[in-house]
Amino acid sequence: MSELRCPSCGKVNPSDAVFCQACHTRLLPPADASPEPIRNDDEDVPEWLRAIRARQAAEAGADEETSWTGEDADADTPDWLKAIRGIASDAESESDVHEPEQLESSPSPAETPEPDAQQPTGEQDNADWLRELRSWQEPAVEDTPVDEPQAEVDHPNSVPQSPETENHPLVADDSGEQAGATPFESDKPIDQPAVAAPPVASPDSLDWLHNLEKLQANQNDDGVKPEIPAVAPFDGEIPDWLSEATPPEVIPDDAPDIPPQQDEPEITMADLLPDEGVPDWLNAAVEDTPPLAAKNKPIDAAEDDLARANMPVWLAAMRPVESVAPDTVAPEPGVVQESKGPLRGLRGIVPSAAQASDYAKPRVYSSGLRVSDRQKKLATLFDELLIEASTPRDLPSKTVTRIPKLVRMIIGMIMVLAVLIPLAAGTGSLPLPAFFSPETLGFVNTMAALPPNSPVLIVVDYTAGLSGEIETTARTALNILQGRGTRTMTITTRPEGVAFAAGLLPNAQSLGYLPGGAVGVQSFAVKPTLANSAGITQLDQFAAVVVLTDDFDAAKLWLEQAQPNLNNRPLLFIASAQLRVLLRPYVQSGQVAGMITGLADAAALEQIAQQPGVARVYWDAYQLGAMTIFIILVVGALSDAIRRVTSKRATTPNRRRTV
Amino acid sequence: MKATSILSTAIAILAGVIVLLGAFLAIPVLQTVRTVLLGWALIVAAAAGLVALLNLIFGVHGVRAYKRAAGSGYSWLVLISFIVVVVLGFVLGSDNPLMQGLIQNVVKPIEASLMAVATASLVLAGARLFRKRSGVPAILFFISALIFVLLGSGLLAAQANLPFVKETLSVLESLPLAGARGILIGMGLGALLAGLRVLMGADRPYSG
Repeated sequence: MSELRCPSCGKVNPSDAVFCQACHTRLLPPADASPEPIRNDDEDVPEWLRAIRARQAAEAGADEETSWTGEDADADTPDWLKAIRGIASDAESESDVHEPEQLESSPSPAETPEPDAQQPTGEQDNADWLRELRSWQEPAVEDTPVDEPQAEVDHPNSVPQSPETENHPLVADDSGEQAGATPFESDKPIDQPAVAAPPVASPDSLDWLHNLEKLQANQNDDGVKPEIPAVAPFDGEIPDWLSEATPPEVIPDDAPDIPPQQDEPEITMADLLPDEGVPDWLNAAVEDTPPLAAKNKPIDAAEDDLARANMPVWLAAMRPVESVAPDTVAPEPGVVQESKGPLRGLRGIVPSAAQASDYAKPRVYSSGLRVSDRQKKLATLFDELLIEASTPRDLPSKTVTRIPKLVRMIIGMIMVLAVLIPLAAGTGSLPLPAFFSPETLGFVNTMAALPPNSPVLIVVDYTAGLSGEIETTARTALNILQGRGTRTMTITTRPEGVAFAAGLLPNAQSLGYLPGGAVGVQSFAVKPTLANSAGITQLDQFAAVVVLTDDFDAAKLWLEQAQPNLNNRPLLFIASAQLRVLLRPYVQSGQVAGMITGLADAAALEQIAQQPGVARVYWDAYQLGAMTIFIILVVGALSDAIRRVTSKRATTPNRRRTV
Repeated sequence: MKATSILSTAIAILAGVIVLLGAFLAIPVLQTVRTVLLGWALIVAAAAGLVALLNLIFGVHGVRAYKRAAGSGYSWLVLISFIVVVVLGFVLGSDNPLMQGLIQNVVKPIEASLMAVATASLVLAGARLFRKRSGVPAILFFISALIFVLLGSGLLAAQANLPFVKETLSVLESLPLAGARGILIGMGLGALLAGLRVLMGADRPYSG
C-alpha cells in the first residue's frame, strides 16, 4: 500500500488520507476540483516554471501511466531505467509533491541542454547522473501534447523510494552493462515521454509557488530577472535521504498558471480535530457553528490584483476554539468575559476598569475637610483640654505650718535678752577659755618677737556687718602692737576701709585705698609706692603684715599675692571665727605665722598677755547668746520630732492584731 | 576670627606671660615692664570701678527714679545720698570727722543690724530644719551645727582642765580640716587651669 507524503511537513500518511495527520494539510485534490488549463499567456513566468505547470497539467489529465516506448522498448530498456520508471510510477500515484528547493534550484528547461546520447563512461559517471538529474527537472513538455496519453514517464524528480537501488543507474557499478546501460550511452533514441498533466495541488500546498511567482515577477534594477542558482550537484553518491525523497514536480515555463480556487472548501471543526476522542458536547457545538469559510470571505481575485491569501489549515487550527465556534463553550456562571479592549474574549480575568472609550466627567471633590461626627467630638474634646491647660488656675494653697509671729518675737527677745543682760550687768562671772590653740600661741609669739619701732602694715579688709566681731577681736592685738612701739600703717582694699582703719587705729598712718583687687595687691607687693612716703620701698621692709578680714577671698588674696614678696616676714591674720577652719591649713603649712579668730581667741590672747580687754566684757554675753542659740536649736528639733510622731499616730488607722 | 579679637588675645597673652615670668625671673627689664603693666591695670580697674558705680547710680536708680517706676522713692534716696556724700567727700576729704562719723554712725549700724537679723533668721531656720527636710543628711547636719556652735561658744574651752576635754577639743577642731584642705586644693587647681587657659588663648573673655 503506497503512502502519501505530506508536502508541508513531510510526514508519511496513509494512501487514503485526505488531510495530513500532523498538520492537516490537504494531501489530495478535491474531487470536484478540475485541473484548469495551464495558461501560457504569462510572459513573466520563467520557462522552467511554465514547464512544470505544463507537466502538472498533463499529469493531472492522464488516466494511465505513460511509458517511454512499447514492448520492444521494454526489452531493450536497461534495468536501471526500468527501476526508475517503476519508482516514478509509484511516486506519481501518491500526490503532486513539490520540492521547492529542487524546483527553485532547478534551471530553466530551455537553458539546460538536452542529455547527450554520447556520454563518456567510467570516469564521468558524476557528470552523467548530473545530466540525468537535470533531465528530470526539464521534461520535454513542449513536445508532448497534453491530451496524449503518456507513456510511462520517468518522473524527472522522482527518486526511487524503495531501497532497491542495486540496479539504480546512479549507483556506481563496475559492471560494463551498467555503464553501458545508461540512457545516455544507448544508441537508441529516447522517446520523449509525454508529460502528464500535473495534478492539481491543494491551494495550501501551492502557496510557496505563488510566492515564488511573486519573486519571479521581481526584476533587478537593470530589468533583468535574477537568475535562480542551480542546485549544487552531489560529488558522490546520492544520499539516502535524497533517494528516499520525492522529487518535486517540475512545472514547465509555459505551464498555465494555477488560479486560486474559487470555492474554498469548508473547514469544519470536525476536520480540524482528530477523529477519535471528540467529545459529544464538542460535536454538538460543531454542528451549530457556522463554517469557517462563511467568516473568511474569499477575496475576489477579479477585484484585487493580489493573490488571495488563504489561511493555512495549520494556522486555522491554532486559532482559539471560541473564535471558530464562539458559542461552543458555555460561559461559566460567575465568570466575566471581557467584551472589549485588548483582552476581548478572554474569561476569568480581573475585570478591567472603565475603558478608555468610557469617558466621564471626573468627580469634583470639595476642598473642604470631611469630618465625621466622631472626629468632631474628638476635636471638640481636644479643644477643651487645650483651653483647660492654657487657662491659669490658682494653685491650691498648701498648708504650711509656720511659726507664729508671737513665737518669732519671743525667740528674738530671748536672744536679745541673753546678750543684753550680761552686758548690762557686766558681771564677768563665766570662766574664760583655758585651752589655747597653736594658732593663737603663734600669733602671740610673733608679736612678742617684733622689734620695737618696726613698721607693721595693718590691712583693713572687713565689712561693716562683721566690724563688731573683727574690731573686738583685733583691739587687744592692736593694743599690744602699739604697746611694743611699732610703727603701724594701714591700707585697705575697700572704699570704706579707710574709715574703719581711722576708727580702729587713729594714730596709725593711713596709706589709703588700694584699688584693683588682686592686681592692686600684686602691684603693691612688687612696688609699694603708697608706702614710699613712709620710707618703704619694698614689702619685705615691713616687720610684719597683719590682715584684718572677714572674707576668705581677701585673705587668700594677700596670701597669694603679698606673702611671696615678704621674704620670710611674718604674715598674721585677725579674722572672723568663720575663717578659722579655712585658715588653719595655711598656718600649719607655715605661710601664716599665727592667727586669732573670734572672741574666744581674743579672750585667750588677753589671758596670755595678761591684759584684760573688751573680750572679757563681751565673753559672758557671748557665751549666753551661744548657749541660747544651742538651746533654741535643740528645742526646735525636739518639737518637730514630737509633732511628726503625733501626726503619724493620728493619721494611721487602728491596726488589728492578727494571731 | 576678627582682627580685633586676634589683637586683644595677643595683648592679653603677652601681658600675662610677662607678669608671670617677672614673678619667677629677676630680670630688671622684665621687672620694669611688669611694674608698668600692673600700674596700667590699676588705672583700668579704678576706671572700671568708677564706671560700675556711675552705672549703678545713674543707669539703674536714675532711670528708675526718672520713670517713677515701682520703688522709685528708694532710688531717689540713693541718688540724693550719693550726691551728698560725694560732694562732702570732695569738699571735706575722707579724713574729715564728718565723713568718719557718717561711716561710723550710719554705715556700720545698718550693716550690723542686717547681720544680726541674718543671725536670728539662721537660728529660726535651724530650729525648723526638720519641718522642711528629714533624713540622715539633715540629722547629720544638725548634729554638726550643734557641735560647732558649742565649740565656738567657748564653753568646752573654758572646761579644758577637765580630763579628755582637751583631747576632745583637738579632735573636734581637726575634723573639718580634711574638707577644708580639699576645698583649698580644688580652688587652687581651678585658678591655675583658668589662668593657663587665658595664657594659651583658649578662653577669651575680653574678645568680642
